[in-house]
Amino acid sequence: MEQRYSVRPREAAVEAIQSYIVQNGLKAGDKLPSERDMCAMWSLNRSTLRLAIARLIRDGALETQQGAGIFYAGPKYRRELQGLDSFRAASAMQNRDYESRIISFERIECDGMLLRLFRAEPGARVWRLDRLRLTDGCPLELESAFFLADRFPDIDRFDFIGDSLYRVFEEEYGAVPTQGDERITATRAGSGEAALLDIPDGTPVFRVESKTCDQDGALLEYCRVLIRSDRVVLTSRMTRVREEERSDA
Amino acid sequence: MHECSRHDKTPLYLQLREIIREKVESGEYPSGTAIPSENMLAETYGIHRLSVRSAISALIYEGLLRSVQGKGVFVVGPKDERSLETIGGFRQTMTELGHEPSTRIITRGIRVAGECYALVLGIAPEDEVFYVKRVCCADGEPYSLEELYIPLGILPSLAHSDLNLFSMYELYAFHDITISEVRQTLELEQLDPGEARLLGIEPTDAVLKFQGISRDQRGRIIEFARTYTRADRCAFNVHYQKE
Repeated sequence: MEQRYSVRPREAAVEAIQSYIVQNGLKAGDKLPSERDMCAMWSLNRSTLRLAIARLIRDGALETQQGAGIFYAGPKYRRELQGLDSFRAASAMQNRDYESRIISFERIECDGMLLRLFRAEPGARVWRLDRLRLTDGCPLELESAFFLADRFPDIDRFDFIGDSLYRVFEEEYGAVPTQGDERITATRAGSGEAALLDIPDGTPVFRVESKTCDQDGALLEYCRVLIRSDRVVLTSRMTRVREEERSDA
Repeated sequence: MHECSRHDKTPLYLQLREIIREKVESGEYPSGTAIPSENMLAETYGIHRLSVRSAISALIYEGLLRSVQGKGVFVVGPKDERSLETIGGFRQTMTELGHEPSTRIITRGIRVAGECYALVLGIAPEDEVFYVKRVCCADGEPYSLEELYIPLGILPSLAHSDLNLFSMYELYAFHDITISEVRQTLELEQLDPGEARLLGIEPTDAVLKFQGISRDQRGRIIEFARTYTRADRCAFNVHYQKE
């Protein structure tokens, strides 16, 4: 007969806190009961509870304020990997205030990689638009977007603090962002990047590289984004079943 | 030749990081070979040696480069390119990538769902759940640490199955269960020292944490899986489309 698995006390404490948050409908900034009350509610000893709290703080679920107690940090911002929703639209869906700051916007000469990506001739130039994306005043993503200067003349006349790059592509230049690929890896934020994202130097962050094509399949935009993983969760839905499995079934 | 530009507002070491990354990814610095020394890079790009070191250390962390004491910094082979859209168990995925998969059970057993997993799995808190924690290896090297929570109500015989002989997907297939949808989230997380050791990494290294709920062809929840995957071993790819 299969043995019983006895849940380790710290895991039990993590589970108790997580279900408490869900069952009591806690919102960002809501306070948790005192350590003493939580220990009594769940028959835990103080050191076990503290280990569980430390773990949940590290994971970004809880926050402490010196002397004031322990607070629910709120759900992370959800970044849907398979959609083409703008940051603005996704923020609105999640009832978050949206803000975009321009870090720099300039025309630069393509390096080897950009020439290859855009299949451009040496000497070709691209726009490089660096933006910091925030919700509810908290920086989440640092984005560098590259798009061909020849294809989007005078695009710097638009205000990308208030306007969407994809709207301008589509409505002002007839270039429709249609489909693309994203590649996700982990890296550490360098000092300049970390300062903008308001995290310590060297904090692990997501690095998402994306290539978005227009209605004719030509590369429209190459983009590199650093994403704070303590504030953002990436989501995807897998439905494609492998061929050999389908034939088995 | 590409140079770090002082007109560019990006810090020099960040520019160099991207230059080296590009040379690795384009194959100009081939896998298995050493990249130029810190001194040489500093001279070539006209930047300070410490900046060169910062650029390189970020790429070492990402798993693109590996530093070998006294020998230099080498280009690691390409990462495994994995899909975030194709459903598949660890064994299938690794086999397709040309790796020899193996798993090592750390612990397994039956537990009650409790409030937390009752919510996740859509069952009652007193319902029983089959729990497995295992290390998944590729070519004998730790690759990911996986925890599975499977409602026993759907698969009562699972508790007697040999998980070393069959993959989870094979066991599901024995019961006419085909996983047809997985909804998952991806976060970065640091592990406790004990778990980091199981994966052969340092506790300061971040791992990719996947949490996913798998449903079968009838829409039933079959498993909740939490997987910590070494970030230096793979990259994940996804396609997006205008609706």
